[in-house]
Amino acid sequence: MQPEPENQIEQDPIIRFYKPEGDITASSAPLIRVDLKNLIAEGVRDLVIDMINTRVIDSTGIGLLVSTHNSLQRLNGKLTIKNLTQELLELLKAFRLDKHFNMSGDPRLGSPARM
Amino acid sequence: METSQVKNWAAAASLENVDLICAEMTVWLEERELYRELFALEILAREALNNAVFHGNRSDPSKKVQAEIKHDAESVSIKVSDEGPGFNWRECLKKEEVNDNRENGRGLTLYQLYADKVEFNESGNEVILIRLVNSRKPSKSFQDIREGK
Repeated sequence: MQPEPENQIEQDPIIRFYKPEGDITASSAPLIRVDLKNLIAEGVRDLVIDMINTRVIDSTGIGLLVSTHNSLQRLNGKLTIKNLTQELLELLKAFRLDKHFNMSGDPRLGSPARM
Repeated sequence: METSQVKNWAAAASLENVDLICAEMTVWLEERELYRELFALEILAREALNNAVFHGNRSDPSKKVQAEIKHDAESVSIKVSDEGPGFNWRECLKKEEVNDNRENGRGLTLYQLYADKVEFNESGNEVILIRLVNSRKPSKSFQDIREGK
């Protein structure tokens, strides 16, 4: 039986979905960065990152999202992030990233967050 | 049952050890039923440990990072130190303005967002991040931090 790939890429003719298998931190970011760069190099311009498996993003992870957004924007593409926990949504909003790319929370999660 | 309110780590400067320390810290916090603080405290611990590994010890695994977590009736504090020369934290705290499109430079702002008190030693190679857990004061807004309140 083949092991399941760590970070899943779902193919779609128009939009590409990317689902990290866990947190986006300094230790996991290098591999995720390679995946995202490859997708953009393949021609993906409308990229959706599904955060359903992601609980924590550190400053390296935030930098990776910004870098991906910047790369797509230069190519007239767009980044969407979906299924964020309430805590992650508030964290990214604190850095005003909601002004730069689309993001939405996971409707199943509603834990109150406070900074 | 563990009754100690302090836990310490000393480990080689590597990202694998950052993940291990954060995982153990989460278990320790869960044992104290600090579920609502897990996210904020993990963010704080990760940033401090990443800074110690990358900036303090320059990712040199022959150097160590030390971490301590302490819980009392009012707060949880996380202390992290490295073997580097430190940095001019006073200047960096003043300059820490976050350009939305920058890919880095958010670490100290994360300290300020999630900790109620941020203390460095004189040289800057040790940080103590204190988060109140019972008698919360009103949350800081990001605008407050930008304006240095």
